[in-house]
Amino acid sequence: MIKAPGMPWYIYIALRHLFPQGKRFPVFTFMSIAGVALGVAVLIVVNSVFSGFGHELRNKIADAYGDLRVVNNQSYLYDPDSLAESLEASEKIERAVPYAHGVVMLLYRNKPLYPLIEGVDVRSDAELAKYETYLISGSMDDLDDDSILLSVGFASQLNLAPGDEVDVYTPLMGLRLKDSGGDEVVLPRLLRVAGIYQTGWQRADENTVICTLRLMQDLYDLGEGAHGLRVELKDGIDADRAAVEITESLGRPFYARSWMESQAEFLSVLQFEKRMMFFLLFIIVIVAAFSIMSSLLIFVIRKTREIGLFAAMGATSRQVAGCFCFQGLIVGVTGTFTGFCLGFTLLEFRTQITKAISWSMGVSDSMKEIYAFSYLPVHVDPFDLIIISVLSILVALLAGLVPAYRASKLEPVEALRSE
Amino acid sequence: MSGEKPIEVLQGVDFAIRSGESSSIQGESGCGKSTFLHLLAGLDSPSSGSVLWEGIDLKSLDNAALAKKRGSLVGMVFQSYYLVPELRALENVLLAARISGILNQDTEKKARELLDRVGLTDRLSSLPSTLSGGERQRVAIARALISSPKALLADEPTGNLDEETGDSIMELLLDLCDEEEVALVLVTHNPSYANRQDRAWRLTQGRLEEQS
Ligand SMILES: Nc1ncnc2c1ncn2[C@@H]1O[C@H](COP(=O)(O)OP(=O)(O)OP(=O)(O)O)[C@@H](O)[C@H]1O
Ligand SMILES: [Mg+2]
Repeated sequence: MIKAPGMPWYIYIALRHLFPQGKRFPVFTFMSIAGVALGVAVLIVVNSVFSGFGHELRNKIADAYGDLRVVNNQSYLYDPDSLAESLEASEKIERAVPYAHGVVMLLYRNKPLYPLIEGVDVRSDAELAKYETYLISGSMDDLDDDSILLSVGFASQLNLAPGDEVDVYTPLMGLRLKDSGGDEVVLPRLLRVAGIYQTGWQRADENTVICTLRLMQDLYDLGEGAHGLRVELKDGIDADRAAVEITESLGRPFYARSWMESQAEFLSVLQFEKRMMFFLLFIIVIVAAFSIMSSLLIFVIRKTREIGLFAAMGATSRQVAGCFCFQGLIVGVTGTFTGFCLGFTLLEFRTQITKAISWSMGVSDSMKEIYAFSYLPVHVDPFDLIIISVLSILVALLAGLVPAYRASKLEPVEALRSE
Repeated sequence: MSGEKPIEVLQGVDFAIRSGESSSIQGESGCGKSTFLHLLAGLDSPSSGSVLWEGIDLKSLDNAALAKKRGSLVGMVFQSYYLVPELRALENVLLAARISGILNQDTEKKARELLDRVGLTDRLSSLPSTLSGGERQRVAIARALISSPKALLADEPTGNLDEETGDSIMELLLDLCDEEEVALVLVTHNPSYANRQDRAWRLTQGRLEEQS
C-alpha cells in the first residue's frame, strides 16, 4: 500500500525527516517536541492556577463588597428601606440591603486599635447566611445589638476569642464631649465578641469588624438611616453596566459603584501580574523555538546534497522551503498538543502534586493559612488556551522559516556538488 | 560570485539527444562532464547558448515550470547514489513519483516491478543504511526510471563500485534503458561502456567531439 498518496511530497518528507522509517525513537525530534511541550504545559498550569486565584479573589471581593453599592454622594441615606424596596422592584436586582460603615476605636486591655466597622442588616436572611459561611468560630445567633464579629486578622492581633468583651468609642463621642464643654461623661460601648470570620479577601480580613446595622445606627447617630445599600444582582448581570444604569435612573446625588470599580486598582494589578507572568513563561517557548531553529539549521546543512537531489527530481525551491518550514510547524503543533495533555494532567492531579511537594519539603499544608483556600483553585480560560496554542505554534513556525529560507537559497548544482 | 574569476568550463558545445538514442561522454577529471549534465538537466544555466527540451528553450520557462518538466522528462543517477536515508527502498523509488505528482496505484506497481527488475525483490523495505553500495545504486536506478523519463543522465554511476559490481550495474542500466526506451547519457571513464553506446563523445578543453 502507498502511504499518504495525496500528501504533497514536501510534507511527506518533512514527516519522514522527523519520524524516519524503521526508527522507533527519533531523539532529535523528541527533544524539540519536548521543549515546546514543556513550555506550553508550564504556561497552561501556571496561567490556570493564576486565573484560579484571580477568580477566587474576585468572587470573594464581590461577595464581601456586594455586586454594587448605592450611596448618597452628599450625605447618608435617610430612608434606606424604601429605596431598597424600589430597587428590588427591578428584575435585574436580587436584593438591596442597607449597610453603614465607619471607623471606631476599639480598646482591649488598654490597647487601642482602629478597625473599620461595618453594620450589617440582620433582618436579611441572605446577609446572615453569607456571614454564616465566613464564620470560623462563634455563632451568628449570638450576634445582637451588643456584640461584634471580628475578622480573623484583627482577632489575632488582639488575641481575642468569642465571649471576650471590648470597649468601643466612636468619633461622635468625641464631638459630643466637645459640644458639652466637658460636662458630659462619655462612656464607651461595651461589646461582646460573638464570632470570628474570614472572607479570604485579605483587605476585609485584616482590619474589619462587623456589627448589626442597628448598633451602627446607634454609634453613628443615623436614626433609621444607612450609609448605603449593598445590592446583589441576579446571576449573569454585569455589575459595571448595572451600576451605570442605577446611577442614571436614581439621578443625583445617588451613585452606584460596582465592586470592580471600587477595587479597580487592585484588579488591574492582578491583571498586570498575570500578563507579566505569561510573558516571562513564554520565554520558555521562545527558547524551545531557538533550539528547534538551530537543530533544523544543522539539519539543512547535513541535508544539502539531498536538497540538490530533490531539485534534480523536479522540486522547486519553494517546495524545499516548505519541507523545512513544515518541520517547524509539525514540531510546534505536536509540542503544543503534548503540552496541553501534560498541562491538563498536571492540573488534574494538582492536589496530589501539591501535597507531594509540601510533604517532600517538609512543610505543612500551608495553603489554607496563606490563601484561605484549602485547595489549589484553577480556572481555565479558553481564550488563554487559544492564545497559548496560536503563539506557540507561530513561534515554532517562525523557527522553521530561517532554516527553510536557507534551504531554498541553495543552488541545486552547488548542493549536488557539496561534500 | 563577486571577486571570483569566472571559470570557463564549456565552450562551443553542440549536442543533441534523440529519443531512445544512447550517448556516452568521456573526459579527464575536471573537464566539465558533470557541469555538462547539470546543464542538460536544467539544474544549471549556460552563460551563453541555450538548452532545449522537446524544442522548448529552458530560458523561457519559469522555475516552477522548469522543475515540473525536469521531473517528468529527466531522470538522474549519481556516482554516490543520493538515497534519502529516512526512507525505505520502495519509498525512495516512490519519492521521485511523489515529487512529480504522479503517485498512484500504477506507479507503485511500477516501482515494485523496477525493484524486482534490479534484483531487489525482497529488499523493498530495507533502509539505505542496510544496503550495499551496489544495491543502493540499483535503488537509485529504479528511482530514476519511475517517472518514465525521456532521458536518463548518469554521472559515473559505477564510480564508487568495485569492477565486478560495477559491471553488473552497468549491464542492468543499459538493459533497462533499452527496455524503457530511455535516451541514456552516460558519463564514464570506462572506454568499453562508452563505445557500446549509439554515440560516443569526448570532452576536451571545453569542446565536445564525437568519436568514431
Ligand atoms: N562552484 C564552482 N566554483 C568554481 N569552479 C567550479 C565550480 N563547480 C565546478 N567548477 C569547476 O568546473 C570544472 C568542471 O567541473 P566538473 O565537476 O564538471 O568536472 P568533471 O568533468 O565532472 O570532473 P570529474 O570527472 O572529476 O567528476 C572543474 O575545473 C571545477 O573545478
Ligand atoms: Mg563529475
